[in-house]
Amino acid sequence: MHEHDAAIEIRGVTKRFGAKSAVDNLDLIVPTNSVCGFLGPNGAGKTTTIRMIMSIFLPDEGELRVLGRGSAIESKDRIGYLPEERGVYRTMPVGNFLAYMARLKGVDGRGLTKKIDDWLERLALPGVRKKKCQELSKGMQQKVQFAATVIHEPDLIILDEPFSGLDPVNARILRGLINEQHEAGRTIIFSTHVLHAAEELCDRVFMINQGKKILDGPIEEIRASFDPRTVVVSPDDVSADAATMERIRGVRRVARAPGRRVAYELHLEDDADVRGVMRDAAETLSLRSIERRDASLEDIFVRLVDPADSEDSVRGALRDETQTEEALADA
Amino acid sequence: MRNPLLKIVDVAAREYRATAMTKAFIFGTLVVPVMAWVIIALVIPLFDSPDQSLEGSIAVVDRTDAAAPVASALALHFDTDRLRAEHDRQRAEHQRVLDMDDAPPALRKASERALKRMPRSPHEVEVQRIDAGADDETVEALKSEVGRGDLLALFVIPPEANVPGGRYEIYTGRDLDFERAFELRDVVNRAIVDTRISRSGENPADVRALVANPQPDIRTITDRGETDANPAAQFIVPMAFMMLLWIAVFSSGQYLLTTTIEEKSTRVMELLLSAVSPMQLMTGKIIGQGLVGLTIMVIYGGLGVVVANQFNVMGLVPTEALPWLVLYFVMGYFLIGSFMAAIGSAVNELREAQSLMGTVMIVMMIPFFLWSLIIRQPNSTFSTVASFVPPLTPFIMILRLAQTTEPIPMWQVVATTLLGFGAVVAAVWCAAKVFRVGVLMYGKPPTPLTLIRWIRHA
Repeated sequence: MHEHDAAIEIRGVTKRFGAKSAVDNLDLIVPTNSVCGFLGPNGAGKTTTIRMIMSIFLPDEGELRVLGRGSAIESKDRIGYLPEERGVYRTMPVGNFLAYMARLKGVDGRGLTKKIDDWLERLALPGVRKKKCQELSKGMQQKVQFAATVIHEPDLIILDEPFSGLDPVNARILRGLINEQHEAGRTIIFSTHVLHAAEELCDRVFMINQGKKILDGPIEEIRASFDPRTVVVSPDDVSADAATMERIRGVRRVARAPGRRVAYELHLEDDADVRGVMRDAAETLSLRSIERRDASLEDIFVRLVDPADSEDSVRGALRDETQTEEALADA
Repeated sequence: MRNPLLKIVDVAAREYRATAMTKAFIFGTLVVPVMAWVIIALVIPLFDSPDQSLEGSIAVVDRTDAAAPVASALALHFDTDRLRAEHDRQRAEHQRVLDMDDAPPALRKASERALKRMPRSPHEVEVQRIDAGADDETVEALKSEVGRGDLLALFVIPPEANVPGGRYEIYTGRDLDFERAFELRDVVNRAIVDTRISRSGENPADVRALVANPQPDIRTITDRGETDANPAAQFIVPMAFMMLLWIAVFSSGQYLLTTTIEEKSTRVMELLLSAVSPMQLMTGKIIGQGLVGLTIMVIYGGLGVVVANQFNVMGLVPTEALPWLVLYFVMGYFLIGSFMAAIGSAVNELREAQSLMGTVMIVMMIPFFLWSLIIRQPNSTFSTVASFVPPLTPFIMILRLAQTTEPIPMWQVVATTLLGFGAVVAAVWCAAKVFRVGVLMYGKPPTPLTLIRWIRHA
């Protein structure tokens, strides 16, 4: 990929918090106008990476370029950042809060009120401009924070866990708005644990674990490259016996396929031959259909991330007070 | 890309609006002092209302000697003709001052006030001379009359009163206020002392003239020349200047602390850091709250001037020290404000800030322990050395500069100012280091040692 195509370019970046490397020799290129999902277990180094992209933390080693410049400091007004730890001024009216954030990001005062009203309308928050932020529900405040992130029409939008705390209706509204921003030509990078949302929105995914990159590329390529471990069968006979299916060589477990009345998922052993399983299933059962299912992001995530790597072990190390303090002092 | 300086202005403007344009600030800073001033303005005219004339009788049991000098003195004091003549003379004198075109304003104001306070008519008090041989029963009956309000007062003067250190009795009723009681006591005391002098063969008038205290005309001679030695100007005015500075610095520092903690606890901090750098954010906040402090100083200073004018003591205010007040506010506020910003960024809630505030509070209290020492000897070695200790510099120097007796060497003013602002640069630098680390640090609040480690490592 050429340098001028990259919205974010990270080369050999390392960030240590004391003895612990939160991010270790990381390389990443986020192409312009892509939607890049940033995945990884809790404590994997996602927020640290994002904070380095935003120049809130400085890397110990390596090089970062954001929107073609040496750091985000030089292009802060072209970036919209929704942090994981986010809030609002409780006693400030919503309109004033958005106007303040917009001004800080270089939006001209003329027409700002209309722009704020438009955004509140799009976020299904009409008539709240004069209300104090504390009068809004948590979900409504989340949407106001999203508006504050994009009100200056940034070229690059970074969203750290944008769906946390949102109910399904508001999550859907937010997904729609992220899509709109993408269609408007903006580059979007977001970290999330909502893997189906990432699957739905992203054209690229990037996964780190314990500060190291373990996955990077277009989502379809990644899913195709992972050996499918599930075969979905739909028997003619609705009373087909699951135990019969379990006896097929290479099948580890059988489960009803969600949402389908007479379909079963055959979860395969790691060393199972998919073609062999499909052939044996066709011979053993009378089938209406049989299909190989590509690995979902969730399958890939679970396969790549050792449970021991998740939050407890990583945060546990970071929780060491002295290390954290010294590390932040180094930041 | 928006100009970084304009971002600082935006942050400062929000800080100012969020603090100074709230009902709590307006009430706390404006309404309370204005109410106090209004109350004073309402109370002062009450003092200017005419005094009540005394009307009634005083009984005197004068056993000093046959001539009953105390009773005579009281009778003379309340002699109707004398009182009326004195009343008319005073009224005419004050009126004459008011009629003068070139009367000094202070004298005119004093005469105006005296005229307002003069009773409409002189006292009309009858002095009842009770027989010196009156028995206890009679005295008790008289005391009952005092209790009922039939008598204004009863004086029982025993012969022993003539002996140096002797005592006598005064019984006053509800109609005699303490001011009049003191006046009568003076009359009685004087009559008894005159009696003693007469008995020693001297003329009381001559002796009184001899023992009358001479009136010193106190002047202070300094490098500035010869000035009136006014205790109020020497002590109260420098203290008022320092208090004004202290209140402005401490209030705005507190506001800075609380708004920083609020931004951190409501998790709005990282959202802000997506738009501004930590240094821009801290600078904007310090400037914004500095303007709040200046507002406080202007409001309280202005009220002070109004009150000084009302009490006709404006001449005591060293107006040449006012520019220094602003300069030392900037110095003091940036020094203390930097600490407050650093502490605010390091903790999660106000309660956690208390332990770190201890050191700042001790530094802030030191000027209160030293002010008397500094004002008495503004050029002593101690005062000079204390001026060169940066957190104290603004407070000590304003005390020294607002006193009018001794001029402060200019080299000290320049040197302390340079040192003070050097310390400001160092304090802001250290605060920026702590701020950058602290704003995104949640969890256990740091100790002072941790803060020092952040400064060293950041």
